[in-house]
Amino acid sequence: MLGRQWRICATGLCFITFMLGALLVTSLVFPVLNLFPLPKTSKQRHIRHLIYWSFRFFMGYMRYLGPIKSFETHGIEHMQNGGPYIFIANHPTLIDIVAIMSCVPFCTCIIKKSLWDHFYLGKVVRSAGYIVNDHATQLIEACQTSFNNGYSLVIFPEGTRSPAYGIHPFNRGAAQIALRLGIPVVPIVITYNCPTLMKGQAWYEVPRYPLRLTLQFHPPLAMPAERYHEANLPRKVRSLTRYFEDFFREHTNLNHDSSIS
Amino acid sequence: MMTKQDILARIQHVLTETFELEAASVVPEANLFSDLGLDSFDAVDLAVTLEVDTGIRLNESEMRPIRTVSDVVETIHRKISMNDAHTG
Repeated sequence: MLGRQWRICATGLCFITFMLGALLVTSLVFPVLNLFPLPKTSKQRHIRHLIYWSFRFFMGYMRYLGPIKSFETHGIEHMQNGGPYIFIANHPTLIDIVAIMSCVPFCTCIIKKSLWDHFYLGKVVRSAGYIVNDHATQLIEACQTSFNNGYSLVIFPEGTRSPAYGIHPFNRGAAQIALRLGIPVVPIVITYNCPTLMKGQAWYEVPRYPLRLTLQFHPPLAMPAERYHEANLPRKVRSLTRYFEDFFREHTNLNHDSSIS
Repeated sequence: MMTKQDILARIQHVLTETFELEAASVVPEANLFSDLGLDSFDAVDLAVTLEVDTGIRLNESEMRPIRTVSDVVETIHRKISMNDAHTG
């Protein structure tokens, strides 16, 4: 097994590679893409495809260098009929979005304002046409357009990274969007062997063991009938959010693999 | 004409019935977002529900500066007074 010292260096290298990759994309790929008179939506499609392949490469790169020992995905066949879907996932590590987007070629995510305005990565997320976390009306319109174009949406309902071996209470955004736009919700339960790159954890605080990351795609969640009979939308949204949260509480506990190899 | 007290009572009713809030927490100075935990979708739904209840439609630009329960009361009261001034 690779030593911890090496994994600290390798993790640093991964961060540098990620940032250099973003620099390469903004300074070389975007100017070249801009030479072609393509409509904005088609440029966004190319950029999202590029992000998909870059993230696939990056997941392999992290396994090759050592910070990640294994990366498994299960149940992707549940979404073979194309979607669009709303993917909801727990958010244990910084790289969850990279892992998810490396599995799903056509998807978008809601970007918090600070990343949207980021001096460096902001240009990438804006050019990819991701959705900025804005007021409800604009957000719903942006999501509707995105679903119409066939893109699925990734949401971390906790709104921030999960605590070690658990989850925070869920925000209602996913249920709000799902119920208003009638989009099926696919849970992705992320499990791992030891907490890695959590919120507040510095990049060099690498865990004792290399990360084993598993993404379990579940079949779309059907809203239980009794919850559907809630009198009005706000109550339905609250009920559905509790349902999502219970689902993740149950599955992150059951699947929590603290065994160490 | 509805008094501020009437409007407050309706808002309290909507917030407890529709948004599952405790009646005791819905006080005039409560912040809809930080104290009562509404999100911006809920704010839109609140405006829609209150329109059914009071006949007053709050548009997005009127909703935006609203933070507390009493802001909602004041805004609706002002609109009712304006409507009355126009018609009366």
